[in-house]
Amino acid sequence: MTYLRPLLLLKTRRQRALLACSLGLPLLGCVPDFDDNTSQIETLRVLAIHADPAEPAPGEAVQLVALVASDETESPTTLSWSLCTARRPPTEAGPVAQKCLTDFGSESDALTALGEGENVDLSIPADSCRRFGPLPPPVEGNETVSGQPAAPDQTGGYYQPVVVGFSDEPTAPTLGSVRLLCGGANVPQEELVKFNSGYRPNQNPEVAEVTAQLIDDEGGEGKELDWTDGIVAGAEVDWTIHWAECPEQAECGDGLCTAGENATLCADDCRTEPVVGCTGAETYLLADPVSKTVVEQREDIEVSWYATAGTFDLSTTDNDDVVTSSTNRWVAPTEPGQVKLWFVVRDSRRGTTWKNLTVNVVAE
Amino acid sequence: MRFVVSFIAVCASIAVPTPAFAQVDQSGQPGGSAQPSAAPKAPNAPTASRLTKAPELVEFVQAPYPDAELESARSAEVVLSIAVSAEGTVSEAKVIGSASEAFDAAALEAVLRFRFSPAEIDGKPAPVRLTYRYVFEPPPPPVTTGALSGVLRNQATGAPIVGATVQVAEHGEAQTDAQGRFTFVDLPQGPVQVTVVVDGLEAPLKTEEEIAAGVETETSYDVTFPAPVVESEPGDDLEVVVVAPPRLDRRVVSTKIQADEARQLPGTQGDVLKVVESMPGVARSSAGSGAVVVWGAAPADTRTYVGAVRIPALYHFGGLRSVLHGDLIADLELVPGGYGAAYGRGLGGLILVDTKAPQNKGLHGSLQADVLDASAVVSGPLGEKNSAVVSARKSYVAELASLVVDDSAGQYFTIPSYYDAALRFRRELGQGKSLEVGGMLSSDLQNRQSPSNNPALRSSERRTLDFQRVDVHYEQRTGDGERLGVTAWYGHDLATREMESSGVAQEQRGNSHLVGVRVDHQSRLASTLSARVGFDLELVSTENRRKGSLTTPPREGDPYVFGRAPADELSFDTWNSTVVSTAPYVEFDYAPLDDVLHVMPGVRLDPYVQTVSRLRPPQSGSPDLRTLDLDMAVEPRLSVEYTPVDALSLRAGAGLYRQPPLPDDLSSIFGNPLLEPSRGAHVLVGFKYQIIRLLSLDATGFYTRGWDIGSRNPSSTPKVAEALVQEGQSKTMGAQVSLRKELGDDRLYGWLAYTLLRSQRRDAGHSNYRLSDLDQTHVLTAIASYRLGLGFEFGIRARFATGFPRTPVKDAYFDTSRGRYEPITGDRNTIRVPMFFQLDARLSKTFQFKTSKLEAYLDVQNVTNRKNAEEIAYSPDYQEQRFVVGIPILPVLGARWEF
Repeated sequence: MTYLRPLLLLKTRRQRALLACSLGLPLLGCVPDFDDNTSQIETLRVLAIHADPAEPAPGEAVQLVALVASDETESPTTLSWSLCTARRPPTEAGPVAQKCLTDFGSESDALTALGEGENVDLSIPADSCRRFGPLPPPVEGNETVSGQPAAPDQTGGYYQPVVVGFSDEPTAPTLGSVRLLCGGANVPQEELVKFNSGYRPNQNPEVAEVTAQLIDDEGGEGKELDWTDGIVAGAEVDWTIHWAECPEQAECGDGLCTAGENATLCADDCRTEPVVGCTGAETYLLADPVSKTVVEQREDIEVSWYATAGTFDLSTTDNDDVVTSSTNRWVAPTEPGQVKLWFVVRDSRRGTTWKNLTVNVVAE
Repeated sequence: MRFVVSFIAVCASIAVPTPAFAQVDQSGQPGGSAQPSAAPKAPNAPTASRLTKAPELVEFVQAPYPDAELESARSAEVVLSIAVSAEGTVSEAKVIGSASEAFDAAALEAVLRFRFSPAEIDGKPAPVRLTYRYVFEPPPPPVTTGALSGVLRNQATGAPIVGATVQVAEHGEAQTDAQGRFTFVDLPQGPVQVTVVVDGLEAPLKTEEEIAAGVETETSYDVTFPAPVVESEPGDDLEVVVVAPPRLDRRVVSTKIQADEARQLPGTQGDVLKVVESMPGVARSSAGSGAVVVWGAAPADTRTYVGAVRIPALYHFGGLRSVLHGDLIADLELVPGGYGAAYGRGLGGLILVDTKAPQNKGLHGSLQADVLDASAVVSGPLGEKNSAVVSARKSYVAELASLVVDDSAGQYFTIPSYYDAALRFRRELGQGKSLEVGGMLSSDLQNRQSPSNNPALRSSERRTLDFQRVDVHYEQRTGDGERLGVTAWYGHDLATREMESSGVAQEQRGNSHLVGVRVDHQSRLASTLSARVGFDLELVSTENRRKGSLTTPPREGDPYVFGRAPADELSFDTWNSTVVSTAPYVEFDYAPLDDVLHVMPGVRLDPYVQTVSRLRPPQSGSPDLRTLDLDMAVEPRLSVEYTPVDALSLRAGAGLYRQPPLPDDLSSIFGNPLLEPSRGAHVLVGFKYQIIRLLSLDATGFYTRGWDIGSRNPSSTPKVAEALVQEGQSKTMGAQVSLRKELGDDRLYGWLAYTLLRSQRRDAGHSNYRLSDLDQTHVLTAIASYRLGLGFEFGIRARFATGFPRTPVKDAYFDTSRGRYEPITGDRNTIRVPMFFQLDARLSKTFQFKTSKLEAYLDVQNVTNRKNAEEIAYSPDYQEQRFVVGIPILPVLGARWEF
């Protein structure tokens, strides 16, 4: 797509959202700007879903926890959970079969109810890797031959969709997904062996630290800020989320069972209970369908930023040049008061965690 | 052509002790002067034996005028002594009177092959010796001229038109005699412009005839005088019908425009092929898409030909400029549907671009430049029989834009870069024959980078399209209108697209080699029957590579939402496909009532072979299975034209069509390697009414159906290698009306065209039809150009069109895995982009010099700076919508120097 648009300042006080270009449709025109308000928490919202473990196998138990954000001090509504069992047909766009969202809250053959609450425990269905993974899907209806397996994402992953919504507002559900441990596919047998012996399931990231820097009026280098002491109304603050540094290459004995290691090759790291992976930007093995080989990749980590007041420069950021942190600028509201902030951290393999703060915005 | 001059002089002598001699005179061969001569022997021979029968030459052999002597161009005599055997063959010959070594050798070679009836001596066959004299005359100079003769008649009565003036450009004029006849001699070979002036005609008839060297071309012109009109119209309106070669390219509906007319129209910026956008039946495409949508058909369904060579695109990226320089174009014709048997492989229409022959008199050309690009054309003769033309064009608008705007803003501008070139060589072979060798190339690049600290908004895209064509074309025309054309061509297309958006990478590449052969012969079989037979072969071999999700890029019918992030699935495939289609065809024009009724049946056979490298996705340890699909289709076509009165012709047509699947759709992962050709049918009815001279009204109603169209598999678990299924259907119905004013000698020309149509699709698994992505209910185009005088010309174009259908966004949900909102879409294509209206204007001034002219022009698109909506754009949470606005006012200032 081609378009003409006014100059975009990459860092402005008011966050502006560039529209993602419509791929595949050439166009010459002026794209309008929209204010990106997705960072502002004005109503009850589910911001993230955390799965533990982050990459369960079919039949394995997993706990799902939702991050519910609200500008109210209490959130009395109840969450309802469902498992989406319908695969998206090629005639639809989007990440999931649309009926999993539109049928939520009513009887549907596309959804399996999981229960209610801010978290839910379940066993991953035994056929998940057939419905959403690299195995031939179940034969349905009058068919006698199974269909084409699902395609992986860019990290080689397959996902079980989960839908969660507020019991009293089923029309606005939220989509989550749990990465499935299905094994490799789309590579020759010898590569598959390499993959299966060295692939480590995803580890959810963890927030190691949150730091803040106060930006002075001239916009120069900020000074360390103890936000627990309060933040002046209207101040500009650079928030930085830090996470663990992960080794670039596996090293037996470092206490981390990482890509390429297994219980046979490195019992010290991989026979612990539980097996510990790195909680930062891990390296992982990818069965690359293009080169038909197993390659090692490193995760990217993205942070989504939310607040009940004030504005962030960007709704989402990824890791800085330093791969263990991400920074975003927040302008405190001009009115004093309590402000809640949430920082949702996701890795490329959809492992999720978050950190939330409450800060006091004080008058100047 | 060299003329052989040979002369025979026979002198009989007897190869016996008492030879006798005889002298025979024979006339020489055509083209030379006969100089019989003889060399008598002395009479003092013994009388013991008597010559009772002289030998007679029964088989003469011409001696060619020696090449070595051509320069001398002289007469010569070679005297030879020849021994004739009793069987009448020449057993020996020797030169006894030499003219030169070359003449001697030629004469000897010829006489050795003479045959005689044997001489008889005393009543019995006997050998004799003769003396011959060969006389050579120099050949006349080669004929490089031809003649044109014809008759001018009143078509209604058949009476000859006496005293009319017939002019041949740069040669002279003649008056028709009492039989209405005229003759011109010594005309140069090649095309000549003929003008016929009849007393009382306001405007003369102009036509073109092809003169062949050494041939007298016979033609006839029938002038039709319309019936007197009741209204107070001028009484000198005439419709002149030229009846000469058979017109087997009659079409039920088509729009044909001469290049010189098209160049001056507003909105074209002097680019001839841009006029297609304004033609009746063509939808208004999205700004910058460059797609040609004819009667609601997908752009890929309409085939574009330059001569007999198919090209993949008419315009460069962005639709700013066409791929072929306008100076190489004679005319172009748009056939939106119902075309005849000579063409196929497309369910849509045809765009036929006819190229000009290179100039064979003097050096000509042009230089042109405006804010978009610069171009040059040079055309001229290369010797007596050859001529050539070369063109080149290069854009610089992207580079100019980068100078004007800020560097960082430049990251968001995506203006295409392009260049194109063409070369054509022509050789006149004489007698209406010609040979052309040519080629063209085109290259497009579009590159966009949108960096962002927000990974969800980070994107980049790079697209290229390069194609080349080379062809050889032989053509032969005779005076009675018979025409033979043979074209062989080779093409190469390379299309690539690399995109990354929100961390999702996509890639597509198609590398095609094409070979085509077209043989087309038209002739008049009888006074009421003409025929066109031919053969149309095309082979397309493509290597494809694709990486990304199944649903990106979107297909027609996908629930497309502008700005939506692509799916992040990763599939990958490489595949090769080869499609060979060999289509013989035949078409007749049966006109039992002169020009009142034409019945034109035709049929096209289409044997078809398709092979794809992989039947199923690759499996480790399993060899790839290649597909082979053989098919044969019979595609009948029929059109009828009935002209009950001179000014009105009624037309109807119908036909079956089919179209091979796109190579992109033959992937075992992204498509279906077993896809077969889609099929369709067209039915059209219409009329053309000549209101007054140069003003006509044309109306056509059409209905087209398509079936077996590749469509997305509706199953959530499609079978392996069946992401597409052959279950799609289409239907389009509508009508188009155009009121057209031809140029003639007037100042004003243009047209008003309106199309009303409904274009629908039925996807696999659905029972109901929905609007096609390309449906445009109303399209109204008014375009006119007026010559103000003093070299000024002003033009205006107004376009109104219904907006394209779009799928509504009913709601949105938050995807926690990606941290973004996704739309929930409603029923497919149930809303529309707002209607489009645009006014364009053009003003030009031509300065005429002695041997050249300079034109300066200002072509302003969107004069009123209207903010036309092109797409519906949504806020990140899909709660708010606005419109993507098309090109604002765009003035293009340019100049063109023509010499």
